[in-house]
Amino acid sequence: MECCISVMRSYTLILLACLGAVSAVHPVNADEALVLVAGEHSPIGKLNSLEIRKLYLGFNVRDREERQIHAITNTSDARMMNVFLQNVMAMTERAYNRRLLTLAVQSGRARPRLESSLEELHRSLTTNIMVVSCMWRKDVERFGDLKVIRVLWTD
Amino acid sequence: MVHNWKTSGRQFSVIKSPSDRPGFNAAYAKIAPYITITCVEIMCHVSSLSTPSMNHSIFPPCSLLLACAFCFLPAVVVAEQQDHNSSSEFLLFLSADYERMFDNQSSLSSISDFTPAADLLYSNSIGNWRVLAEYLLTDDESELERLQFGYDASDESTFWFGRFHQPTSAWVAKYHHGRFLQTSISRPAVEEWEDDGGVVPAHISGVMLDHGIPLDGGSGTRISMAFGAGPFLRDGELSPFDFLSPNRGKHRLSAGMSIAYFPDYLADTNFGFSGAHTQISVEENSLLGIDQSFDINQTTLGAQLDWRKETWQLLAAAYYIHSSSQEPSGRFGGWFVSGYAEVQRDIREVNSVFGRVEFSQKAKSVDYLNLFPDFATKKVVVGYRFEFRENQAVSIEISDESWLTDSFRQARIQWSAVFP
Repeated sequence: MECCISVMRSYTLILLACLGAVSAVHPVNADEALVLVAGEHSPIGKLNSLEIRKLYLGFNVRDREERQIHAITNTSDARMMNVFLQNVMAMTERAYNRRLLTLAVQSGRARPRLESSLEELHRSLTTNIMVVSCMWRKDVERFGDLKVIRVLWTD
Repeated sequence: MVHNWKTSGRQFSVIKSPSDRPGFNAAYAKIAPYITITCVEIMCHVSSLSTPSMNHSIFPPCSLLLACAFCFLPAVVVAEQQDHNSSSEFLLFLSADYERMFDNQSSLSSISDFTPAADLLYSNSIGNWRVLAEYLLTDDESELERLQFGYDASDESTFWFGRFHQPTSAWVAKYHHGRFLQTSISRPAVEEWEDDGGVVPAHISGVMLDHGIPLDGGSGTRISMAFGAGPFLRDGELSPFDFLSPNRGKHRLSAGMSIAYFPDYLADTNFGFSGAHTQISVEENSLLGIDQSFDINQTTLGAQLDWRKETWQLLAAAYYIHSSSQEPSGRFGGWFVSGYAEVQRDIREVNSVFGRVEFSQKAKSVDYLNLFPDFATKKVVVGYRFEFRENQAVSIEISDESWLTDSFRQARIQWSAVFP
């Protein structure tokens, strides 16, 4: 009996060690969320999903005071971009790029600016109040001076 | 510049706008005034050479308009240095086509042709104003294809002024001159550009309204209305108004309108209807038996479907084209129908196979088409396209074509790309 218990303990330890190793590679965060953010002093209010898609396709979107809102594409995290394209734009990467190109050719709509550095993105958001971008919620909490416009996706 | 990022084993990339590069715009802003002065000087010289026919033009100061446009572009770029609310795009479409005819039924032997092409597109917007300019250069053509200034009256409405593409053509409205964007190498006969034997106007110079109406559930409608100067007909070719040669030929009025319903307002899939009316001035041509110039009134009614579902895509359109002639004998009148359906299947994203069928009815009996002997009345096209490096593609295409005066088979191969 004691032998069985010790074998089970060993298996449990191995299993826990494996789980620990897996979570070290892919940290599990129950609160993981993708959010649309702006600077804390931004007057931008709620944006619906159509307005967010329009922003990321280069269409005009304005606030209640007729000020133009601009989007910056956060390319600092590949997984976040994947989540964004699948859950917000509902497009594959190729379809999204092709749609952006088509709209640029059809009516001269400029493609959203890309930013691969979180620090640069944070600076753009805090210096231009009419700019929005996507971020993991943990990054928003880390910066502390950004406001969440909308939760786009949660794990 | 291309940004890459890896996700789930797939490599992502988004082509970065040149506006993201401060150095690029700064350099352009420095040389822009010199480009502007040179362009204005050239245009003044060209205008001074073309004074004899000045009284034929319905747009006397067009070179002045163009000068303003060239002045506006660098001004916009310079202003962009200080304005975060502006955005610009530079796109360069390059292509090289090789085509060869086989099995000609006429006395002509096999004909081959190599066509390199570069299409430069620039757009910029500041606040409610936009500018879009497009210049096409090939081995036998150099043309300012589009030069339009836009004012966004609202998020969904834009008024355009200048020279733009006719909104009634499904193919033109989708692909414009971006050869990298279209899957097939050739275009349907009824959608050809004027200088490639097109039988309906593809350009209007005047004003255009683009208006979108988002509907409940994410769907929407888009309406385009255009009004301005249409083309004239000389030596069997429609010639649209040209900002660089404004005094060439008589341009009559042209008007067009299209309305399309989008099940997803921001996606490609849509279906709609269009209508246009153009008065075409036909110049004397002894070879075609035209002793004196006259006008043709052309009315076009069309229906189109652009449908995409996962890896399948269908683009189809049909046009009823009626012409009435003001020539004393009444020739060049009549009607015909022309249309096409192109089906495309994407395989593993980068490979595509496609096929297109073109048809026409009463085309051989309508006198208007006698002015365009290269019009294809029937065509069957099949092909394959392979995309690589995110922004380049190689396509091959084989077609069986029946023109009004000839029938043959044709093979084409094309490399196309878009930069940056």
